[in-house]
Amino acid sequence: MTRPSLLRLLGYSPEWTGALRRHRAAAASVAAALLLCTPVPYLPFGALLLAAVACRGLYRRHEDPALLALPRMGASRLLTRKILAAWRNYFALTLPAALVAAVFHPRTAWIAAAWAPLAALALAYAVLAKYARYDPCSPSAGASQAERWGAAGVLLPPLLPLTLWLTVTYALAAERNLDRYLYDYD
Amino acid sequence: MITIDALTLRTDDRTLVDGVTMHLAEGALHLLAGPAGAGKTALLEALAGLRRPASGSATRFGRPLCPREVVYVPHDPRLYAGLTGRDLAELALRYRPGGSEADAAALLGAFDLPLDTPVEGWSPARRRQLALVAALLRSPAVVLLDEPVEGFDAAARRTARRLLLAERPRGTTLIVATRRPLTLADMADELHVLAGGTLCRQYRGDELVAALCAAQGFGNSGKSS
Repeated sequence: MTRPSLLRLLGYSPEWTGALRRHRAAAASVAAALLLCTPVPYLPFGALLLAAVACRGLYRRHEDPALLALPRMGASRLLTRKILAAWRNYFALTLPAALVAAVFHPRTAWIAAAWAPLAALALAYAVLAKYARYDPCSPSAGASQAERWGAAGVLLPPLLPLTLWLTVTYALAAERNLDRYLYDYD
Repeated sequence: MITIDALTLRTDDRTLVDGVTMHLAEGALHLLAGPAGAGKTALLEALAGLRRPASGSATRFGRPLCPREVVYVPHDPRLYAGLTGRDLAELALRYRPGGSEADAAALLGAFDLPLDTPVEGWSPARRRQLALVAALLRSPAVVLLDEPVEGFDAAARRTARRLLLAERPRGTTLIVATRRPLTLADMADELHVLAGGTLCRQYRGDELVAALCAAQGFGNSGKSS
């Protein structure tokens, strides 16, 4: 029996597969750092949330539209798929650390209730922000100041309304933007 | 039939394509030739839906070309960083609408590509080979290729020619932009010469063969198959 490929294990997400292949050492360091955080109460969930925000780095480069069109999906389905893949991979990779943290410090386990939705928001924000400014003619686009503040919103509660507002704005812009290249799917 | 009707493409400061009109037959190989800056790439990008025309239109059977039927392979394809050639082939295969695995394997093995190494370390020519294979795996109705064989060695060029010729029985329309038309001209059905954003000349059939023979400096020996 053949071993499933990394791409398949990561739900056919090119961003996550590429990042794990390119930055094996960094991924291992993050895992080690998370383990080191485990004995300190409250710290593991903060570190996990920080890791979710850092996942923005996976969604910087603009691929060719031919690659976007590969799954033969319309804009909204493609965006949903990308977000679900990001959630699936992030939670699959971080759940062991979260469980260990909850077992070590049962009194802090309630934080998981805040960590999970905030991490999910951070990942959805990263995907939507990328495709809101997707331009097939440029390899990548730098994040605007507003986008940076928005990304910080999951770590700094006063900025959370900005993050939520930008997420909705980016979702609408991303769908409109991708629709130009994928309009005849769906 | 793909109809390009008085198409004009502009950037903020210059006109890339100026009122070009063409009628491109289905299932044929069309070469867009011309020097750098002639507007070939801009025209391909407009056909791929990446550029909005300032005026005019590009339609297929009377309606705009849609992403489902067109694949554009740019001169320097941007593939997902970190993925290996095999990953990208696996992605293309996963979403392939039908066709046999054997055909797919044959396409993947056509070029001698280091499929297990990350694509960002590959030369542009190799990335173009992989992008070409991924494009053909999708079995599109129209394939747009920008300098598809530039930088290829002789063996890879032969392979690319073979792959493009194999698309003919399927009725795929191939539109190829190149600065060196002689490399592929013997396979072409039509040659469209652009310069300065305008269409200068078009060659078809015997006229194309005669032009090729004149360019190559030998007698009329017909087109290769």
